[in-house]
Amino acid sequence: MPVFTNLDERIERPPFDGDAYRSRLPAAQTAAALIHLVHVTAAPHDPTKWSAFVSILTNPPHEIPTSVDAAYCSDPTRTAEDLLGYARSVYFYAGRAHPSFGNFALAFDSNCQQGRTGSATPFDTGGFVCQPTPHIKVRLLPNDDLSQRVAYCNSSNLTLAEWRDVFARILAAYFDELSEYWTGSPAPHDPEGLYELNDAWRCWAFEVRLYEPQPIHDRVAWCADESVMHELFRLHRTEPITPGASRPVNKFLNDVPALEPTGTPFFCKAAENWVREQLGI
Amino acid sequence: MKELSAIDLEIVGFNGAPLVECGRALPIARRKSDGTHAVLDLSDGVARLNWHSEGEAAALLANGRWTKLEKSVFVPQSCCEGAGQFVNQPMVIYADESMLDTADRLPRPPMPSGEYMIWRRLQSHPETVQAACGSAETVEKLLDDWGAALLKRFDAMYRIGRDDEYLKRIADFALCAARNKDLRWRAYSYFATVRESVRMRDTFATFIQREFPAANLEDFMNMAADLKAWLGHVAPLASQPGPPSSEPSSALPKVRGMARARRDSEDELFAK
Repeated sequence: MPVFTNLDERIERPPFDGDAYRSRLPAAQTAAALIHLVHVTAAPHDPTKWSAFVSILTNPPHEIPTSVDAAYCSDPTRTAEDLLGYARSVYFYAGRAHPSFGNFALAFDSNCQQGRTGSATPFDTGGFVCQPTPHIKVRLLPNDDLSQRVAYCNSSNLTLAEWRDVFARILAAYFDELSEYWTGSPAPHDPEGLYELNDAWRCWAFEVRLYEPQPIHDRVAWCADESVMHELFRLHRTEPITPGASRPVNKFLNDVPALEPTGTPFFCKAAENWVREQLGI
Repeated sequence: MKELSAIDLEIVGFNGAPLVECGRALPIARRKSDGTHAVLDLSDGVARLNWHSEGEAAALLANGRWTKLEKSVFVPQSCCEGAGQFVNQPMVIYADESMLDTADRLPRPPMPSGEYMIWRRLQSHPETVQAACGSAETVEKLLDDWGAALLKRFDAMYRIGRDDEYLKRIADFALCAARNKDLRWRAYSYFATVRESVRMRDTFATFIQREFPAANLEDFMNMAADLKAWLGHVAPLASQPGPPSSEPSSALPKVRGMARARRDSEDELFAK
């Protein structure tokens, strides 16, 4: 039973507090409707891979590829997708920068999912089905084997049209304050113990998968580490400045300036703080 | 969650990749007891770390999301106390030999600011690049030391008449290293002395102005021109002007004051 199953009924019984839920719901709905999708990526050390990102930056259509791109996403990602029946995807997390391994984080506003195909899950699916030992713990019946895990994931699957509504209800039901989605943890009241047996936020951060590449120029905020910013400084100064010349790096840097002009090792935190500021949380 | 102890951790790498000649990044820690990995960002406390299984960490490594040290190192002593409770944020610093050589900072310092650092080669990287883990504060100081040393080198090379391309490379290294605002302002000024002005205007708008919102292009260009003239005579690094204040109203008088101070000191030099 996923964390949102029969929530409207369960919320009226202890340990939930129905009145508190209803009082929190409007603010949660506003936040959920607006929350940004965050994508963390890397500029790998392998020159060909960094060139691949430069290629995204400098050549149309300037898109983050789906996991079909072997250089961009790992084999375990594709294995999990095949297991769960997901199409090759670009991965985002609602308001959270996950996994925080990489060099920079890009945030997209809620419109980025308009007209797109995709799906969402109220936790990190990669950590849920990774083998040989799944990283996220739950109590599944009759036993915690892979088929049960796949079934749990599938029953937790949400469409792009519905996930924000479910997200709002989960925020209102399980979190005393909206800010606890970032700074705290949910109340441990779900039947399978997803919120009880785990203390890492990847277990409650909503994963959103878009099945088509994501244009990087649609980002509304971004933040990188210092090495990326310096590398962009170098790329920028070799771009032609003659009138009419194409200047994709200049466009990238100036259309939406970086949150930290010199970069920061805490670029994920900076991106998340920006999201919270935008939501007033 | 049981309180995380630094004793149970080893630093196995750092986040992202060394794209440039030197820099800093958050450490990747491995928990010895279960092999899980996390980006060691302690800004929300150890309880908020997201741990990943060995397999996940390996996949992230294969995708270039983090860089592995050839051999792990301990969590720096300066970052923990007692039974391994964290008191300071650890940070990894990496550097390429060519940059350190230019800065005259080889061999790599084993004890910067009195803090013991173990330098390690990086897996799948040339052995000229090495990394160490220290407290965030010491790492920042070390980067600034390299930045200042590079500007000193620039002075010397300028005076012996090295070509602009070489000088530009030194100034670029200095910008890569320097974290302190005053030092970065100076590094940008040095960079401007060997950069075509039309290009510099572009760099100013996209980078310098964002870093120093109170700065003004005309003043910056005049200052770079003054600096260029001044470098021809002598290069007293310590008396170089600092960046304008972040308060826009106070920036211009400050820059003018600096320019005046510089002219005065030039006059003194000529008088001698």
